[in-house]
This record gives sequence, C-alpha cells and structure tokens, in this order.
Amino acid sequence: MEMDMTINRLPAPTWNWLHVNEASVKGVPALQTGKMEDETPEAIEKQVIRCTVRNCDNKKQPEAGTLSAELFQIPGGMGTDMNQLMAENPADFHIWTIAAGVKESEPVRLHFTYEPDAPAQNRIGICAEEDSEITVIMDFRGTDMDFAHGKLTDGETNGFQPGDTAADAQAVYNESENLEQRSFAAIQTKISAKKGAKVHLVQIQNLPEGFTFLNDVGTDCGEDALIDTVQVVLGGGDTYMGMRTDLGARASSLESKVGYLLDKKEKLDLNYLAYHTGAKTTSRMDVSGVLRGESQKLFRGTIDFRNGSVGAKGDEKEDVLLFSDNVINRTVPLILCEEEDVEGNHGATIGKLDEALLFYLSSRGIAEEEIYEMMARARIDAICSGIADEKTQELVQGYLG
Amino acid sequence: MKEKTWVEDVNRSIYDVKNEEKDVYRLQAGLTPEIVAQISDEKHDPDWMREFRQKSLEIYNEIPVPDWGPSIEGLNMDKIATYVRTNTNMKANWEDVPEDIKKTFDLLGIPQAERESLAGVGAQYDSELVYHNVKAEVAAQGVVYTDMESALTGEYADMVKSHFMKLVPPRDHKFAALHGAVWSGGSFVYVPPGVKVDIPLQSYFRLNAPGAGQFEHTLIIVDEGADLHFIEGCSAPKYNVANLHAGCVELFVGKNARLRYSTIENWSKNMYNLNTKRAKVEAGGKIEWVSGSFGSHVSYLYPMSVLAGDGARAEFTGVTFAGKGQNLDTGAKMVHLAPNTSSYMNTRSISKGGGISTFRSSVTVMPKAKHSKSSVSCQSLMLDRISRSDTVPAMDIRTSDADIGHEAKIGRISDDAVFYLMSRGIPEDEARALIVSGFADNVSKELPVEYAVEMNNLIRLEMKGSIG
Amino acid sequence: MSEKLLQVKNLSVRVEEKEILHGINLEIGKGETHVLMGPNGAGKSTLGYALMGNPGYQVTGGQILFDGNGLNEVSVSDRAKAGLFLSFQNPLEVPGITLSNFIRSALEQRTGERIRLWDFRKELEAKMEILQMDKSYAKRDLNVGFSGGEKKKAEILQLLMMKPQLAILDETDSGLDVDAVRTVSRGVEEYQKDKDGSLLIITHSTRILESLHVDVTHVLVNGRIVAEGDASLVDEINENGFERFEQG
Repeated sequence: MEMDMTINRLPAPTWNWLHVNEASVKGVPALQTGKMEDETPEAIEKQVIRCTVRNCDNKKQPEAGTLSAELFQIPGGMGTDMNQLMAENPADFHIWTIAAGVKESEPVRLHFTYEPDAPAQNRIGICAEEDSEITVIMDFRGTDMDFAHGKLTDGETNGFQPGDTAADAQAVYNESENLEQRSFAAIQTKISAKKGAKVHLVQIQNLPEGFTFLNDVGTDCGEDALIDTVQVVLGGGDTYMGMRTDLGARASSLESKVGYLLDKKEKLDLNYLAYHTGAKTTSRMDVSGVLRGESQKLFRGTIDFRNGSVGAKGDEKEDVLLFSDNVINRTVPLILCEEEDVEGNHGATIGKLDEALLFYLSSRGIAEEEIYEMMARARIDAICSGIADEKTQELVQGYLG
Repeated sequence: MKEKTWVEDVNRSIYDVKNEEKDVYRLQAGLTPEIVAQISDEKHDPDWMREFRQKSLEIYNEIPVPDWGPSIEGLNMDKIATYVRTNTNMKANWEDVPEDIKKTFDLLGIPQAERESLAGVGAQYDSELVYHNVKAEVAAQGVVYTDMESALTGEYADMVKSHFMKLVPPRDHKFAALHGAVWSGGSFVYVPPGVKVDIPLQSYFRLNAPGAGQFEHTLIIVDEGADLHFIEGCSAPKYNVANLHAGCVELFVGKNARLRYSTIENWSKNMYNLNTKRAKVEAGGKIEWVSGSFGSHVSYLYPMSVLAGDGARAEFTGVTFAGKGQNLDTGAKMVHLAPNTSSYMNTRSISKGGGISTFRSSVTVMPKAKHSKSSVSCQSLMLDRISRSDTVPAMDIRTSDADIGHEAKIGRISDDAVFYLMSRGIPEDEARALIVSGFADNVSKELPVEYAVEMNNLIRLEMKGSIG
Repeated sequence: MSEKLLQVKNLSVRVEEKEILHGINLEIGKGETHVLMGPNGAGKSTLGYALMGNPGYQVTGGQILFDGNGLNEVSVSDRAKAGLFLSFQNPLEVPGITLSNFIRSALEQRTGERIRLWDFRKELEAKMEILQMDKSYAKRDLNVGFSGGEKKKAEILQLLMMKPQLAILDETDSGLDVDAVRTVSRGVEEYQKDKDGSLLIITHSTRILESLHVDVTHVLVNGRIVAEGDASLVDEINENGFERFEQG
C-alpha cells in the first residue's frame, strides 16, 4: 500500500518552471508507530490513543468532540496529503496536556529513534490550557547513533504495533536516483495553545544519511497565546518540513526559528505559513543556515494577512550562507494581504561570507577554512541560543563536534 | 472611524473617446488556420512567416492556459477579432492621418509630444501602424525606426528573420504562441554600433475596436556601444466586451550598449493585457526597464532580462496601481547566466477599491554567474481593506559566489503623514494622493517630465473620490 | 637592521581603479610608538588595511617587510600569526560567536594548542577590568549590539589578549567620549608595557596621544608622507591643523 504524496504546496502558486509550487514524495510505504521514549514531568498529563489496524481502518479520523479530534483538525503546514498519510496508517496518537494555570519549566523530552528498515510515523498532540506554559523537546535520530544522554535503553517498543502490511515496508518507496535511500519516517505534531498559554517546541534532527523525513507541525494559537518553535536540522537525507500557525485569536503570536547545516546531497524542503485572521496578531520567522557539498534547500515562507487581522505584524527573515558552487538555494517568501492596517516585512540575504567580515576575522589570525567552520556553527548557535534547556544545548554541541 | 465614500469610476474621458468603426477591414472573430492564413495574405507575409504563424497556432492549441495567476475565464478567444485595420495606409505626415484617428491621438498628446521632445514616433491604431516618423537627424545617424511589416521585407529582412521570436519563442507560453500566430503591427528599431540617440523614440498603441485583440511586435536591436531610450504608451476606450492585448517585445542589447525601455500602460478596464517582454544583454551592456501599469482588467506582465554576457546589468523600476475591478499581476524576471552580472529591482504596488495587485518576480543565478549581485526591493501599499496585495517573489541561486538581497514590505499610508500634511492646510484626499504619488516616485523620477506628469495625473485620478 | 620591526618601502596601493597611496616609506622599530596623522581622505586607513593585507587593497608597487620578511604575498591570517594586529575603525558584528569564544579560538589557531579554560578566563577578566568592561560582555556575541565605545574596547581587549608585536590602531579614539578615550589609552599603555609592543596609531585628532609617549610622527596628505618629526609635530598640528602640509 504505497502512497504518492503532494505536500508543501505554495499557498499562492507561481511559475511552474521554477519548480517551487509543491513537493512530491512518491511511493511512501506503509508505516508503523515509530520508536519514541518520553520523559514527562509530573505536572503534565500524558495520554496515548492506541490505534490498531482494526479501529483505524474503520474510523480513519478520531471521534468527534474528543481532544484528539480537536487536535487532528488543526491544519498542518504540509497539507491534506499528510493528514491522509496519518489517517491511513495505524499509529498511536500521543497527547500531552498541561492544566490551566500550570507553568512547568521542566520540559517534556521525546526521543525518537528511527530504524533504517522500519518506516515509521509518530503523531503527537500538545494541548496547553489557559495560562499554562509547556516546553516540549524532541530529538530525531537513527538507531546507529550514540545517545548523548545515555538514558535510553534499547528494546522497548513503546506502542509499536506490527500490522498486516508490514511486508510492504520492504518495498522501494522512493523513485529518486539514490536507491539506497530506503529509510522513511514521518511525524505530525499538533499544538493547541489556549488563551494566555505559552508553548515552546524544540526539534533537533540528526538523522543518518539517506533518510526521508517528513516533519509536519500544525498549531492553533489562542488569545494572547504564544507558540515558540526552534527547529534545527543537522543531518538527514531528504527532509520535508511544514508548519502552519493559525493566529485566529486576538494578540496571539508565533516565534519560529529554523536552523540547518546541509552537506553532501542532503535536501531540505520547507513550507511555513503564518495565517493571520485575528487582530493584533504577530508572527516572526527566522530561517538561517548553511549549504555545502551538493545540498539543496527550498524555503517557502508565507505571511497571510486575512480580513480581520487588523493591527497584525508579520516578519520573515532568511539568511543563507553558500559554501559550495554545487548547491541550489531556492527561496520563495510570500506576503499575502487583504487587510489594510497591517505591517509585513521580509528580508533575505543569500550568498557567500561577507568579504569585510572575512577580512576582519582573518586579521585575528584565523585561517579561511576555520572561519567558514566557525560561521556555520555560529548560525546554529545563534538559532539555539533561544533554547533554555542546557541538555539540549549540549546535545547540539555534541552533534556539532 | 470616519466613513469614506468612493466614486465608482474615475474620469477617464480622455482615454475613453471611442471612434465609430467605419471603413474598417475586420477579420471574423476566432482562431483557425484559415484565419491565420488570411492574416498572412492581408500582410503579404514572406513564406517563412506564413509557416511560422501556422506552427505557432499549433503550439497555441497544445499549451494549456496558466494554472497560476489571475483568472482569464472572461476571455473567450472565439470572440476576439485578431485583426482589425482601418482603411488607411501608414502615413509619415500627421496631417494625412484620418481625422477621427488624428483627433484621438491629438487628445492623447502624441504629435505634440513628438514636436517637443521625441526623436521619432510610431502610432498604432488597432492592428496597424497609422503613423510613423523619424527626425531627419536621427535617421542620418543610421538609426532605423520602422514598422515591423516594412522591416520584414525591407533592407533589414535578414536581421528581422534571425531575431524574430528567438528571445520569446512561441513555445514559451500560450499567449506567446498566440502572438506568433496573429501578430500584427509594432516597430522595428536598429541602432548601429556606437550611435547614441539623445532623445527618446516613442510608440503609441491605441486599441479602438471593441472585442478585438492587439498583437503588436516590437523588435529593438541596439548594437555594440550604442544607446537608446524607447517609450511606449498604451490606451484604449472602455467597452463592455473583453479586449485582448498580447504584444511581444524583444530587445537585444549589444556589448556595452544601453537601452532604456519605458512604458506607461493605461489600457481600459475591459482589457486582458497578456504581454511578454524580454531583453537579452551582452557583455557590459545594460537594460533599464521603467514600467507604470495603471490600466487593464487583468494583466500578466513580467519583463525578463537575460544577462548573457560578462558584466551585463539590468534594472527594473515599476509601479502598479490596481483599482476597482482590476487584477494586475506584474513584476520582473532576472536571469544571470554570466559572471559579474548584476540586477536590481525596485517596485511599488498600490491596491485600492477592491483592486488586486500582485508582485511576482524571479531571480535566477546560474552556476556560471560567479560574482553576481542581485537586489530586489518591493513595497506594497493597501489603501483600504477591500483590496488585496500579494507579493510572490522567488529566488533560485546556484553559485556560492553571489550576493543576493531581497526585501519586501507591505503596509498602509501612515496616519501621521496624512496628519502632518493636513496640518499644513492640505485637504485629506489631496494629502493621500500626494503621499501615494510620493510612494510611486521611484518610477516618476525615471520618466521624462511630461510622462511623469501624466503618471501623476493618473494617480490623482485614481485617488480622487476618497473623501475623508 | 634587526631592530626594525616594520619596513615599508615605496608602497603604492590601489583601491578599485584609483591609486590612493603613492610610494609610502615608513620604518617602525621594536617598542616604538608612531603616529600617522592626516586630514580626512589622505589614505591613512588605506595604509592600515594594506599592511594587514585586505584583498580589496591592491599593492601596485613597493614592499612591506615585517621582522625582515616580505609580507606582500602573505595571507591576512598569517600576517596576524606573524604578530601584526589591526584595530578596526568599524569592527564587524558576528552573531553566534561570543567575544570570549572568539578570542580563545583565535589564540588557539595561532598556537595550534588548546588553551586551558581556567587560565584563559582569568586573564580575560583581568584585561576586561583594565578596560572597565563589564564581565557580561565576554558572553555576548562579538560586537553584536555593542555601542561604539564598547566595540572599541572589545578591539583593545583582543589586542591585549593576542599580544602582537605591532598594533595598528585605526581611529580607535573616534566617536568616544573623554572617559572612554582615557580607558582605551590605559589599555594601549598596558599593551606597550606588557610586551614592549610597537604601535602605529592612525588618528586625525590627538586626544588618544595625550598619555602616550610618541617617538615619531608622520603626516600623510593625498597619499604621500609629507612630513615627519617627533612628538612636537603632534602639538603643532594640534594648534595649526594640516593647512601648512596641504599647500605643498
């Protein structure tokens, strides 16, 4: 049961010859619940909605009126094909809820370990009730990697349900030129931040070469609520990320940061959408990274001011360093607007290191290659500086070596 | 909140003068090989052009309409007459132009402008040029400025053949194919090496016939080290049926040559303006586009600059004003193929009264374009909350040795600025019009003064009616 | 001969298409303090950049010798490793790298050895105290959001930590208030004391020189050195400006 998906559609399409209007992922295999370990602070409630082959076949969507249904309905950045993928495969839905008024500084830690031959998917829900504050930190890695934490034990299969379609998992799912590339994982995270709530989401991705990884986020942001995300891509094969934030309630806001270091033949395909319908809503997207080797990146970032978003502000910033002549960097930053009283800004700088900066740093005795190394690291450090969690900082530093 | 009242349509009386169709030769509407062959007959096409038209028609039938951009559902090709010609030949003396046509152009200030500040003028009325003249001293420099039909068979026939639709091949998109099949009229300009034309050449396009299409072809070759400024103006009276403009502009800028191509477009608001403009720039050459888009119901307009030679440069300066009932999708495309090339885009768009304006652009830097620079700046102004303004830029960068900057801004007229002007005794509508004119001054600063005045008048016309 | 640290022989420098310096001759001995003065646009900063090897400044003629070795073909970072330091007039902002990490990796690059964090931190804090810099600056990203004065202090901090043989200070005093100039001067004195370091101070004012012992003063006008003298030349320019030199 393979599936062809069209994801990451540009909200307003442009010339087809640019090949930026959407991404297509072909031959996605049947998926099982991916291996996940969690560390959940006491104040936070964890729920698992088991999804077996049987009940998922009968009811592809969660029962109406339930929390899982509410979360399921929040649109993600990748689009409907991703929902379809999630609905068609029997995977558990893990939901973390923090009660009204509770502010927990200790994060929920989720460690995802993806195996090369076991196509996996995870569905995560985060629900922050009124005036609560929650931090969820996810790290994605492959089985052959050392765990910096040393905490996880092997063997636990947390909700893993072998299904009837396991045999399909062996099938070649990707028609891309790289046939070794058989590893596949997909995750969808839905976030509901109620009035005055703050949700901090951190995702650190360091998957082995050859992984195709789909990472979809959908968030619904209540009145005066804040969604704050930091996503760091340090390793992988073909990575697709989508994020949509619905800023429908007054003064809701989004702070989104993405950092990446791409090398070899890695590909990164992003579709980020801040959907402003509420008054005085704000969004800020900050995407920054480095392309080396023959890597490719496509960033679609959209600020959409809909009627009603009076007094809204949207800001999008992109900063790309190109360290090789064989890279392809594509950027499509949209501002869509049907409201008068709004402010939207976008700025992008793309290219090599600034010559004046290169001179300044070399005048302190640092060799050119070292400067490039330093600056690549500095990008990630700048993105990560907003992460309040020391363990995560150490994890990233460990990955950077 | 103060209530604002809106006047439905602005005073366009100058542009809306309609002439009765009399003594006209008009091909039946629709598009068939027979109709295309008839155009060839009518125009005494050379054989290669007859074939070219038929081939283009085949391509037209193969290619789908664009699946992005504004809707063109209101355009029914079966109802568009592709060829309309008045019973007059092209004149070189203004006095000989038929009275009603002359009156229209007089109102638009064409011969007057020529007398004052132009090196040469061409005026197209529906499908054919009705007037063409070049100042003697410019002609003496060896500058060729003629209508396309004469060029096709005249002294420069080979040059035309080797350039015609080479930059915009019919396969480029559906309306390029349509143009290849039914093109008519337009101008051919050749500026010999080293010749600098000090004052601008101008073409004026007027589409008078209702339910018709205008498909003029402009081919300009500026040879090595030469310099030219070419201005085109477009207008049409308003009818209740759809009119179509699918012109094509091909510009060849030679080594170290410079071409400035300025357009003030003010088609009536029933016009589908699906125009294609493209320039190829050789080493050290420069193309400068100055573009004001005010008219038409729907526009698709994105002049492309292909920077083919080392050190070639392109500048695009544009303003688009979308009022009621208008969906204007405009912008530019920059393609860097060679080292040390640079491109610069500076645009403003204004949306008012339910109008939709979209800025669409692309910057492509290919691996060979080392040490290239590109800078894009687009600003949009929303004048009310029933309008729409979208910004859809794209960048595709394939070398590390490039310096690419992009900035986009969207916002409204600052209340403080309006208040400041009003505190000096300027009424609110006037203050807002002044601010909008100032917002668009990136373009007006680049235009010859009489065009800048015309442009500011258009803005004032569009702005009028918003009463504080 | 051996005590000549820097020798500039008939140096001409071009920026883009324009020649800015026309045949400069200059010698600085070990431990000496030289001042390079001149009106705006004379080419003072150009000389500083050319000595440091900025690729945008093309040497079209002449030679630069440092400790007897030709520098013309030496890369910027190797010049720094050889013991040359340029304090920038407008230091650049580098997000993502803290001041302290930056200095440490620059030092490690130079020696090729790891530096013990404890020793480094102790020394850094001591130097920051001399410059009256708040300790928190060590953890801030290099120059990011620093005021003009803080940037200049951060430059002098790097100077004190890196201990070069020759420091070129390019308008280090410009834009600073009286107190800040005093603090920066104290830093420069410390550098001289610490290592018998040589100095080339580029300035168009004289405030920074008040507390320093000046050995030689050079006056640069229109890309040429038009006068040389001792410290008294500084005082003269202080009183009469550059007019006398510009006429020639």
